Amino acid sequence: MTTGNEGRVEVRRTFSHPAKRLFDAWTDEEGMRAWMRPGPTEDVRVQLDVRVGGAYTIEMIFGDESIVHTGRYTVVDRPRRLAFTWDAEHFDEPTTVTLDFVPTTEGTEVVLVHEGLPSEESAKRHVGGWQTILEELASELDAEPSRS
Amino acid sequence: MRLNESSEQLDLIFQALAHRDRRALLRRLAAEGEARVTRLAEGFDVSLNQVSKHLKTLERAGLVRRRQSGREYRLRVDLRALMEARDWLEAYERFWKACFEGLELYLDTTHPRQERTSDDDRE
Repeated sequence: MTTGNEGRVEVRRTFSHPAKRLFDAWTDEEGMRAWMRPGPTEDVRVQLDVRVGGAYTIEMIFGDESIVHTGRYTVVDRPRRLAFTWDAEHFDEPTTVTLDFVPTTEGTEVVLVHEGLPSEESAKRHVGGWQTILEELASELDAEPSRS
Repeated sequence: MRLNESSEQLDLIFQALAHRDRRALLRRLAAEGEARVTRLAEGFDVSLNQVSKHLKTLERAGLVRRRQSGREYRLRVDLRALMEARDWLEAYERFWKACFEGLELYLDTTHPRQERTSDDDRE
């Protein structure tokens, strides 16, 4: 079955720290609040219930606005693997994130795989939710005779 | 560099689309074709001031263009930025890379190299 969300991102990085420490950095509220600050993020609110089926909320704050990410843990296998669903307002369906912590001679390689992202190709076919808003906008603009 | 410019633009788009009211404004503007701020704010459950602020955010992201018409401004949706906003793959690849950078900095600060050997029980 084609769900239309086959976009996949894989990011790897080797850290000179043991796997347990890396794993714990992903499951500790205070730690995550300290390091998960991408781009223009000013503050992050983190609530984690780290157990299979447990929920988490990560709210990234930009001034008086924020982006909320939520999900549930699907694999909690310290210090080897951590997996969770990753949902946000801008997705039609939750995506999934899997983290593997692989010990190496230098420390630990962390392999992050984010799956189920709407790819450009799938966005064209996908119906429902957020992608539809873009489709609607596109078709309304296409249908609109130029007024200027 | 063009790549960086487009990446920064993607951040702005990402942020602009994250708000429900801004998405509603975009939809309304797309339906209207071209409209004044006061017209867009009509029947909206937020203040005119707030609508202006949202429109500025949308403009910064390149999702909305402003045109002067006589003594007033008219706004319309820009499709090109919307097309770019579909690229979640690039957005998330950059997002996670930035997270890894932050993680490394955090761990290197909380566990400086010289202190690591004693307390690091390797798997």
